[in-house]
Formats: sequence, C-alpha cells, structure tokens
Amino acid sequence: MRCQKARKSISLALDGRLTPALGAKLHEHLQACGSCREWQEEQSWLQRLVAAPPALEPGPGLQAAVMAQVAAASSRGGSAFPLRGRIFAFPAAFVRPALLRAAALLVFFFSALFGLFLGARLESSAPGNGAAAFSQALNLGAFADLPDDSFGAVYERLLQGEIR
Amino acid sequence: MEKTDRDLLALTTAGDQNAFAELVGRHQARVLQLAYRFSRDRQDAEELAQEIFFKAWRSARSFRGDSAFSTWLYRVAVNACLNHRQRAKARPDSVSLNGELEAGDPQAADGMVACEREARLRKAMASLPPRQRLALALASFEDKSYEEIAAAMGVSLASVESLLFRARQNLAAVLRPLRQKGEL
Repeated sequence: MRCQKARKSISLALDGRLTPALGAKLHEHLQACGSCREWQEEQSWLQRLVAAPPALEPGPGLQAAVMAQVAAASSRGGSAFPLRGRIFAFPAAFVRPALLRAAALLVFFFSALFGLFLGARLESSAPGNGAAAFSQALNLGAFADLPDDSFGAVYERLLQGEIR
Repeated sequence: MEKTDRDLLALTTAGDQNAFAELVGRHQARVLQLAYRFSRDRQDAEELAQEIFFKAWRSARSFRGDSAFSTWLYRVAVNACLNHRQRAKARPDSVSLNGELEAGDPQAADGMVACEREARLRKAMASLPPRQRLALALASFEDKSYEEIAAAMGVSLASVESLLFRARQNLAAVLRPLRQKGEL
C-alpha cells in the first residue's frame, strides 16, 4: 500500500468506513511507515478539534428574527407566499429540460416551414412553359433549321415525344 | 394532540405563521448547531440559521412529503450553507491577555485559551473551499453517515470520501504550524 492510499484509508477509518481487508493493509503499512503514523496521529488530533465545538444554544432572538422576516415578506407580497416564489416554485431540474424540448420542437417546426417555403419558391421560379424550358435545356433550337428527314430533326421529335 | 411537522408545514403553506413559528422552535437548535459547525462563528451561525428558516418558509410548497420534514429541512440547510457568504469582519487573531485576567483565575484563563483556539480553527475552516468545509461539518455532526451526507449534498459516496480526505489534508496543512508552535 502506498502512502497516498494509506492516508485516504486513515480518513475512512476516522469515519468508521474502513473495510477489514483495507484495515489489514493499512495496519501493515503503518508498521513500516513512520510518516504515515505521524499523519494518523495528526488526523486523530484534528478530528477531536473539529468534532468538539462549544455548544451553541439558540437564544430567544432567533425565532423572533425569523418570524419578523416571514411577516415582512408576507406583508410585502400580499399573501403568504410572494408571487415570485410561486412562479419559481417549479424545480429547475424540471423546467430546463422542458424548455429545451420546446425550443427543439420550435426549431424543427420552423425549419420544416422554411423548407416548404423554399421549395415552393424554387418550383415557381421555373419557367411556366415547360416545353420551352426543355428545348432550351437541350439546345433543341439548334435543330430548328434542319430538314425534316434529317437525323437531327428526327432526334428533336424523338426528344419531344412526337415519335416513339 | 401535538401536530406533526408535516401538519405544521401544511398549515404554513395555507398561511398560518404560528404553525411555522412552532416548526422553527422545534428545529432551531439542530439548525443552529449545523450552521455553527459550518461557520464556527456565533453571529454568522445565527444569521445563517435565520436564512435557512426563511428559505424553508419560502420553499415550503416544494416539500413533496417523500421524506421526513427534518431531512428536507436539512437539505435546505446544506444548500444555504454552500451559498452563504460569510461576513468579512475584522476579528483579532489572538486574544489579548494583558490586564484581563485576575490573579489565580484559572477558569478565566482556560476560557480565553479555548476562545483563541476556536478563533484559529474558525479561520482555518474558513480557508477551506465551501464544499470541503460543509462535508467536514456534516461528518462531525452526530449520526451523519456518508450516505446521508451524499444525499444532503447531492453527490456520490466517492465524492464524499474525496471531499473529506481533501478537507482534512488541507486543514492539517493550515493548522500544523500552529500545533508545532504549541498554539493549538
């Protein structure tokens, strides 16, 4: 057992939390380590110092001071529990996730709305004459002056669905 | 028939201030002791205790009844301790004994020594981070197990172990020089 582990074990021992197995290892370490023995003695001294504060009895003023504060708060709020207290009565642990979920839903809703709007705009921006757009896309105008029985003319009619 | 703490709290939420006064009377000693173990100063402890009860009054409606009232009040007290800012006031680090002791008054001398020791311990405790200080105060409180400390502070058992170890380590480092000089 290393000294750091031994000192943590000493802390556990002060609170009665040391397991038998750990206690045995600690005992073995303390047999050999003077520094940790000093640490143990120091911690015991500290424990006695911290655990024994002078007794403090409540004076009559404490209850009176509390009730004066309560009475003042009640008269300010107009009721036993001020509005602020009621509004924030919900635990923060409940409010924060609910707000996050609501925000996520709003973002999704508005994104979908925006997507629909954008799609509609793109569709409407396309030329009203579909055939003209089709011709323009395939540069069918280039075939306009060709003889009717030429390959290009036949190809044009094929593309436009006139012949199958 | 004497009303239970829950009955009194229910009356409190209905606006009965006398019911809350009775709750304060029943629990003020315990709350004050906890506040004193945390702050190690009488005035701070009384202010903190007052703050704890006022917070308990304001959040009375949040008590759901799934624990004892004393356990719920304990959690309110723990949170108040962690959020409490101790008043920064000038206090003498040592008590002057010049001309203040009558000859042959050992009890007075003992009292002065105890007072000075407590002042030094208070200063050392105040140097600890609040969570370490609170864990140490709770562990030195009667019948407070690691599980109860963990529940009150909202941390794991491993955190309680770590907080206590570091608190003791830090406190020892602060007080060691005084102990070596024989001042504690």
